[in-house]
Amino acid sequence: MDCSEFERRLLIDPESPDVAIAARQRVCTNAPSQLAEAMVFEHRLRAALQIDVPQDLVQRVCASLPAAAPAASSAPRWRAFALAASLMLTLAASFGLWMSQQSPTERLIQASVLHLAHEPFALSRTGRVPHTLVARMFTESGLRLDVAALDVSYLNRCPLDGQLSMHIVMPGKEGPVTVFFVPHAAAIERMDIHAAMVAVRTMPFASGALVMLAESNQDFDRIEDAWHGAADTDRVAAGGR
Amino acid sequence: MLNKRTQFDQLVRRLTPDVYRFAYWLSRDESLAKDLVQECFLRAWRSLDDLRDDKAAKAWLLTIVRREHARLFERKTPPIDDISELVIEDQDSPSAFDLSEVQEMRDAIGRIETKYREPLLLQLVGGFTCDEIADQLGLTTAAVMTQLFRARAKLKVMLRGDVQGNVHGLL
Repeated sequence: MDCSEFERRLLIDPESPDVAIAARQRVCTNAPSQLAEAMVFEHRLRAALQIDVPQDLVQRVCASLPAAAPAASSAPRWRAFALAASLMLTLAASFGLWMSQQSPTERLIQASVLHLAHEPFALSRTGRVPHTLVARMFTESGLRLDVAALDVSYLNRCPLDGQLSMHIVMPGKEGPVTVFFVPHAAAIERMDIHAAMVAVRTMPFASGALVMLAESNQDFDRIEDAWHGAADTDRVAAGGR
Repeated sequence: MLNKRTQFDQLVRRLTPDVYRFAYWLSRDESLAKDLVQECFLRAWRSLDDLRDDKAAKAWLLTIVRREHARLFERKTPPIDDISELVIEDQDSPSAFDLSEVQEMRDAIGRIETKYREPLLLQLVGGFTCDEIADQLGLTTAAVMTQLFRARAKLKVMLRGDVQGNVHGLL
């Protein structure tokens, strides 16, 4: 690389290793200082491009996506249609039956599964919500908990089945487990089912109910034990297993 | 299904900053940039099986942003943002002097022609090499190098207000 090529390359890609080598070889008399000047300019350029990303953008993108996973592109088109048609028939039949026979527990399960699709980003959180914040939000909901044993990666207050509930996500060995605490739900029964390809467990808890949802029910027992362990026995009525 | 969705959400989280910045600097319109980001991730979700790694996914997403922006640009004239209101990230911790320099640079970036700005953004925001940029833009590598050269040269001229002989001839 000669001096004129070095100067050209400073404006094409000053961070390239070739340019650094040429500067050390002093292909131009002032090559090191020219490179230093180019790097200062490059730093300014990069800093200028680093505009803030709107805080709600990731949530907005995730919320706009359809709940269903896309069909594999390699599958024949007629098979996708056949699968969709059969699913529609099954869902229509199941939904009609469900609507005619729904108990409060089933209604809560249905609301929970539907809510899951509204906040898909909650499942991808990998950090931990500070215990002090978890404790404070539960206290505000009228429930005192010893939260040290509760590993929480997402926490929010959400309307569910007609009342403000706590939406929690806890990491499990088989993937994230969503837990809803519904403060006032006296008629909820213990139930273990699969609904819309999601494993669900409901149980009475304190003056309300807990609903757990995950891809598999493998972590439910452990997480249920953690909740019973965290409950303040003075205030939490029995209602577990 | 949840695993696939979780993986995609993580992809969104990882790539949204770069995709948004690319969209913003192309359009220089915050709401349009948000729409472009949303649209391109929606398309990516529909073609999830084709997205094997982050670099390929990023190239794919930025190409969608470019094409969608080109399509929208014909029917929507974006209002020009007051770029002095944009704040750079905390990690840069600019002093008042630095901030003024950053604003000048932002103004200059906004004024160079799209044909020079695009390869510069692909290089600095996308992290692509000249060969990769050439692939994405359907140009030769030599043409991309020329555009990058001219982009930086133009920025320097705008910022310095002076013209060095070797740069002047190319502008």
